[in-house]
Amino acid sequence: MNRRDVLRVVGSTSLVGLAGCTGLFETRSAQAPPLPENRPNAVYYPTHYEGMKMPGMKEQGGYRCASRIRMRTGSG
Amino acid sequence: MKPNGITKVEIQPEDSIHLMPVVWETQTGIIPPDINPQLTVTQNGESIDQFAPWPMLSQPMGFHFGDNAQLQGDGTYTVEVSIGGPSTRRTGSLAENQGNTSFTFEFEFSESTLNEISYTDIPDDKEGTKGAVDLMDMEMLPDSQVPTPDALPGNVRGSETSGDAKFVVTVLEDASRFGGDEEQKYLAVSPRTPYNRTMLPMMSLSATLQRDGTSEFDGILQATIDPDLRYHYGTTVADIQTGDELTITVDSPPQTARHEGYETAFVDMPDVQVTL
Repeated sequence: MNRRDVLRVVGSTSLVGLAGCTGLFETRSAQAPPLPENRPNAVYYPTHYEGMKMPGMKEQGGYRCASRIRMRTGSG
Repeated sequence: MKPNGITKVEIQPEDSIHLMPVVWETQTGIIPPDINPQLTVTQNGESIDQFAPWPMLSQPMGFHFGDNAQLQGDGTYTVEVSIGGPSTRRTGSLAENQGNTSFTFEFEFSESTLNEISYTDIPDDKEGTKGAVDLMDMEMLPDSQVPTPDALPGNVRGSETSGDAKFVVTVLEDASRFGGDEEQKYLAVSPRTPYNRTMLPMMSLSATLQRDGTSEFDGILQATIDPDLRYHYGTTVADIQTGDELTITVDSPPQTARHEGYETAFVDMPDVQVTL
């Protein structure tokens, strides 16, 4: 089962079921270290963060779109 | 090849990237969370991957869509980003906003490009403590922030916290832009992340308004994208008086994936009570 399949399954269940199951719900880079211990029930500093590249920008019908790339994320 | 399902090509992990299309409304710079981008990756006219990226909340990147694309090594790829029509109410100059368009990009992919992407470690004594990484400076790109309370239109009547999200309540004197009339008021609730002020879209909110023990309003707060209020939740009401008790109920928290640092917040969200 790849990450997208996992997320699809998760997407059809209620969010309440996800709260204790962060490995499915959050997205982490494949090279990410383990999650911090004792995470608060609040916004917290992650173990790391990654930059990105922006290959281009386009405009069409009142919208602009930029595409960005980053290292792939795994299911953690 | 993946598309016809006959031949399977083993994909190296390093050949995959995380693709994030950022689509925004040209005039306002607002990033609409409801346009469901679809991505099609091709190489020399052949389909490589196709998917609908997930809406996500990240500290450095705010609200965005993103998902992994599986590429087949170094080379030139074409990505088509198609967006659907709006499903969230638009007001003011955004009311005519149609969506339903597509953008095509060509990009050169090489593993060495990926190696140039920065990786910043957070010191051990800081990780896991309350706080957030700053929003990334994205050069020409707009961000997914909502206005500071001072910059919100209307009369800001209070703010309260739930699930570590901050809910700012403002009242506009004229509800005609929001489906009401000039005599009615528009009650707008603008939830945001702490620290970075990133919008919190895709919630279901409802509210009650009590005055001297009598219910003046009991109903949903409609998710709305307005050029000035930006992404918010609101309703028209007959009147608002000083001392009115507003209770906001989070019927469902933001239906987005979360990056590390946001997955324990904005989940358990008790009622928000504000005396106006």
